[in-house]
Amino acid sequence: MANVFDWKLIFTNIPELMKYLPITLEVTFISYIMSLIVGLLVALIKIHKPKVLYQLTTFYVSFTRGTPVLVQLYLTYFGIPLVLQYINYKRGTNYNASFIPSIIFALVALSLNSAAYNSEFIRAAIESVDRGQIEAAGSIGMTPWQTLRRIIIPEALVVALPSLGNALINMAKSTSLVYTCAVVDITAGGKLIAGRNYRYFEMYLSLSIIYWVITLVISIVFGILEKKSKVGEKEIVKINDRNKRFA
Amino acid sequence: MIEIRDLHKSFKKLKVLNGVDLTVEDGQVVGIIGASGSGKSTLLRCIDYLEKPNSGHIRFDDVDFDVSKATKNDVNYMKSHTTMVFQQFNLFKQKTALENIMEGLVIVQKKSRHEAKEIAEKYLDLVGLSDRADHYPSQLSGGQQQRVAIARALALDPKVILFDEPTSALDPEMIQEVLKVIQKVAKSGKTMVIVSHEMNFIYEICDKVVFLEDGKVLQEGTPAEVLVHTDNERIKQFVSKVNFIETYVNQYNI
Repeated sequence: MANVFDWKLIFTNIPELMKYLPITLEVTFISYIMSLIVGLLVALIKIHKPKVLYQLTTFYVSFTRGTPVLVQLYLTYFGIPLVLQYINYKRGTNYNASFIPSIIFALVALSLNSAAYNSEFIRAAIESVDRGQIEAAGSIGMTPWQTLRRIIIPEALVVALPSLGNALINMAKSTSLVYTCAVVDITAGGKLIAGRNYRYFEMYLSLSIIYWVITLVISIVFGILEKKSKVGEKEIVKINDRNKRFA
Repeated sequence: MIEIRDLHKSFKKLKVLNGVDLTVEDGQVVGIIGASGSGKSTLLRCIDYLEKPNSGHIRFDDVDFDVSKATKNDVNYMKSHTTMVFQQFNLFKQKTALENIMEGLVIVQKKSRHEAKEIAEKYLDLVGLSDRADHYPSQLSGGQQQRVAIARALALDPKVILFDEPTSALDPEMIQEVLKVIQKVAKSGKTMVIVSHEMNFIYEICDKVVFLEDGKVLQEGTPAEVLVHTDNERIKQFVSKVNFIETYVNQYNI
């Protein structure tokens, strides 16, 4: 019975998996940044409701939230080459989908998927910023763009931080599906390695440990950020500080 | 100098301003009084272009335009030469008192941080809050926040400062400290338009008082003409209800 379960393998797997870690982290962070940018744009469209764009984003958010991310990965993986073929056919160009690095498909699918969810909490965070401060910014002559950058985003960020942390954790875990786009991340790499000795269970335990550590690090970092961001809401003025008040 | 003719503003079906005329001379302190809902705040917000008026004519030093045909330049001129002090202070809550004042100087007027800091410190000193420079709004009392807000408006050196009920959100003790600062500014010769329910204060510091009723000017004149010697029944009734007591008017003398 000694060979049924190999404890040691769980830990000896990890150094081997580490060579795939850069891909996992790369996909996680690039998709995350893109999902925040797209999410912010979608949130602004939801708030200002421009015609056509508003309907388009409503459809996009509804579709993205209504379909599994695995299916979306396949849709981009097979869809983008099809679109290129169509463009080639219509315009007589000669783009070749096989020259697109497969990681691009994963980045597009994951960031668009996450952006749909992010747009919701980004919108809520922006709308939580006190209108008075936005008016004050306008009154001192700031343009809408300056107001967004200098006043609204810094304040909305504080409100959104917990959700931003969650989004990053979800993103890190979703990257385990990128094998569908022929990207070899730690999960795909682990499967390859486990194929040599059929120790799949040990391998998935090793993978669990790595993902767990990644998400733990993210939650700790966001915990610290949250504490730091609470600047400006720390203290309440001391009521007995009367002499100074009238100074 | 601002000259406003026949200004109209409505929110959907609700008509708030019904043809307001208002003239503000350079260096003048104009008080706008009237019941709640008479359009006082809306008038101020239209001058600062926080609300877009529907029709009327505005002349303000270099610009002279019909509101319905206002160009971007006209609107920007109005915005950049007027600054509002709000009832709820509206300080940027993630910035310290000093940073609140520096923001417009650096971002809008493109001054260097060093220069902006010097100006901000000067105005913070003017409102007596030098020792609170590094405090966040949440660490300041209401009166202190409003004084910072006044310093923020002054530092930008606008042609006109608009006060929208600057003391209505304060408790009685703090009202005094804020009114003293406003009076100090008035005496320095700054052009100001003040909406307030502090009748004694209006009487004391204003060169001209305008009484608004249902989005129209019912009467305008010196404080004494409007508040004391008016023949208008409506204004008499209003004044009798807002505890304006002439003998108290000297309480704000510094």
